[in-house]
Amino acid sequence: MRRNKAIRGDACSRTASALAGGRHRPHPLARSGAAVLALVWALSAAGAKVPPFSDSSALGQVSGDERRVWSQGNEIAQAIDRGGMIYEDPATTAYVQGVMDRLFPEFKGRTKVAILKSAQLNAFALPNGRIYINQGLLARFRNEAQLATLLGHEGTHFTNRHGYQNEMSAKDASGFALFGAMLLPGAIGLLPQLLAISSVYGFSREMETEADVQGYARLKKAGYDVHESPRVFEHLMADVKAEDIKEPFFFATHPKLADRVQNMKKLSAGSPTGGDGTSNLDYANKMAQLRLDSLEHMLSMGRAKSALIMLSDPERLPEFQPQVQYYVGEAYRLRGQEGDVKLAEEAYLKAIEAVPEFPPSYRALGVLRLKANHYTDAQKYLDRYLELAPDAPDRGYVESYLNIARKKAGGQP
Amino acid sequence: MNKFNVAAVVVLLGACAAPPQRVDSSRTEGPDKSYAVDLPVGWISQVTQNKQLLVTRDGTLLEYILITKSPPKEAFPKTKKAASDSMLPAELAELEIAEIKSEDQFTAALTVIENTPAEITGRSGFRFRVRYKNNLGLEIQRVVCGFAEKSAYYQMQFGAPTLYYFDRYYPDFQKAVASFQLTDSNKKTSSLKSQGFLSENLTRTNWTGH
Amino acid sequence: MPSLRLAIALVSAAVITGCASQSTSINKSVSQQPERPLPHRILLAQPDIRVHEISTGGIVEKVDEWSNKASDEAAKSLESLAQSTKMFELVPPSKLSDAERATLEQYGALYALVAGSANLAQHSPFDAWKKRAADFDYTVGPGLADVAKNEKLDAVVFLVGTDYISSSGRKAAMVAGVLLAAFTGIVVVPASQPSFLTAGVVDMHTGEVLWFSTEIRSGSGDLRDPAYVKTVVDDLFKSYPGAVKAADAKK
Repeated sequence: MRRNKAIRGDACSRTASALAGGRHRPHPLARSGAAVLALVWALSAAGAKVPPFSDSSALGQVSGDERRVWSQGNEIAQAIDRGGMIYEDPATTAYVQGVMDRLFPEFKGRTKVAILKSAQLNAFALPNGRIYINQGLLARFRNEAQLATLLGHEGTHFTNRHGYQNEMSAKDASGFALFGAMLLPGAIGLLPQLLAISSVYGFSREMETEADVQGYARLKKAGYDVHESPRVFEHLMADVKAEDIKEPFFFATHPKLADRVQNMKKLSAGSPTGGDGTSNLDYANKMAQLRLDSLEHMLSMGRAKSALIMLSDPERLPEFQPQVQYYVGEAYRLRGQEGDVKLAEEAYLKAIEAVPEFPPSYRALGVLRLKANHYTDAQKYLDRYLELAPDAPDRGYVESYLNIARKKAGGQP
Repeated sequence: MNKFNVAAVVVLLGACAAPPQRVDSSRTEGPDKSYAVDLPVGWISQVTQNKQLLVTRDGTLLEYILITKSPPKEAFPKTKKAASDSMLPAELAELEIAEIKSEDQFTAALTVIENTPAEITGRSGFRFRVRYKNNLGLEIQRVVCGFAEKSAYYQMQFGAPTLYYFDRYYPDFQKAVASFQLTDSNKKTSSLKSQGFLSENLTRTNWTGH
Repeated sequence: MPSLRLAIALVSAAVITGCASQSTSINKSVSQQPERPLPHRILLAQPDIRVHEISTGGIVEKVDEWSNKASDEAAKSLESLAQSTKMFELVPPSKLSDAERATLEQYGALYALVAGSANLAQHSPFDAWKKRAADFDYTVGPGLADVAKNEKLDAVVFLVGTDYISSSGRKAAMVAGVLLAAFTGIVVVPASQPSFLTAGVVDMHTGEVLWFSTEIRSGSGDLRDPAYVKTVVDDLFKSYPGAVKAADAKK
């Protein structure tokens, strides 16, 4: 085996062979270097762990190194604030903050949740205690217990100081890599860049698992129904599949989503059923406007398949406000697969029936009819749209369509 | 960092298909000679590696005009959608807005200020204006207009910070769009026009105001 | 001001071969009208100097304490220079109201883009951009005129800089790298990063960037060191039209 590796001749095999003491003749420094590398690696791995914060009072005692990492977090938070990325809804934000405070009462006032205007299913924690959750993810949850699962996970990243640990590990490991590169040139020069990147995009597999397990413990202690926890990762899996996303880069260092669903199921298997936060209706009422805003946002980014995960679920649809059928129509229209035009039209008609004074449904149906050369119908719906929304920002388009429809309708019964 | 910060560096350091040139005479042909347009004299133009025509006076961080011609199937690469000459202008605008929103977290939070039909070189197209903020809280505005032909999708955009630069140089973009013409071999009637979708309400005077 | 920093970082990487480099642009409205009075009361926008530590393996971290110190030292150095040369009267930012400070912040953000563009134009190898840089008329527009009027100001000066301090581990690695190269011929020396300081004086009534200068240095200097900051600021302002006039007057 070692001989074959030596014959392969590439840099990596020479390195591996050198470390294994194989038949390839390493540089004289490399033999002693391998022992040094092993020791440095062991030391750096052992040094990375720090104890979690016990409560808010511990936050005043952090080292200068950790404050630097917080400072990076502060800059990111500033950029987010200035960049207009926050979804400004005080009532919804206060509700989410309330769930956070229930899970982490000893850090009340120190962890701060904000909602981001983003359709993607994502959330992240900064080392300084700022927790961000995307509109899209909040809209996807069915109930408070699922939200609490996510917040328990993200809050644990903060309390367990994962951002700081990751940064220190990256510095130690890249130091190792540099010395390694010096002694075994060509082998591992890329390592510093990769580790630095992973500390920005997300945390290691071990840290994510720790956040899952300890976040779960918080969920249980706060009295939530733990059987809702696997569903958080099921939502993510469904989205990844719908939008045909290769699990993003940072998931490569994370436990795979399917594994995390299984881990949560195992954790909750022994727990009794019942617990707080399972009322889908209560959560739907609190998230009513956010869900519609999220749908608008999602559709405006062309993420029709993602929107249809929620909208084609007959159990979920009644949770939305009645004009949701318009968004169903829009999702089918934007998805544009065979048969979708018909599905869109049916949905728009349902929207008109449910909420006759909601203007966009008429516009949408009018445009569909126009494209199908049904000019009289098109005119009827487009006229109604402008009656209901005389100041519509897209009036220019609609008037141009009406112009065509009126001319063409002249030749139709 | 959004694509126009990258573009700024790329343009000014010259890593493009051809070196940047001062615009000495206004009438300029596109890289594949399928169109001609009046560009502001004294600005600096460059053809990018994607055969786009990028023009700026001070640097793309401050203002730019970008003219793109793409095959319909490659019109919206981020959202992986295609353009088609049978699409309504509002539908093209919708796809273009989705494309901008997909650039980064800052553009994802953009607001559409206006979105109207527009006639460009006799074709039925769209024009919209959006605004968003960068990471320092500086507001940026972008105007995009475009239309689809059977064989190509044409798009022109202007971007600049709202503070001083947008109002100062937007008229140059308006003149460029008003002057845009397809060359003889590309002057085929669009599918929309042949179906009668070209609104008679639209005239070139659309381009004299916001 | 990330756009300016990005521009300078890229320029530094591409252009710098020696230990120091300075580039200066003077607005054509100043160079074409030598008798035009220069600004007298100049507001000092809060200097933004960022000092980073580079770890052994190249991880870069901004250090707030060092950054604040370097920014304060830059302000003090410029105040001292203004007082000793009488080039202008420097007005501290604390004089502004909250609303004026907010306006200045917005224009500071615009200045970052202007300065970044000007810097890239200065260092572009292409004739079109070289001519553009020579025909310097960059501006932030007249939006600061009301603040100028209220506070009787003529101009604002922006100071932006970045420095990189190698950790002791990295320094050891640099030494080890040099020794390794000497003894074995294997060259793996961790790269050092150049530091830079840039200054721009903006006429608050017209918005014209009257003067813009960048000093890029690689070597052992440290922007936390008051004496070093003083030499960098003094060198930077040697090309300021006011300094040139004062020097000419002394001859």
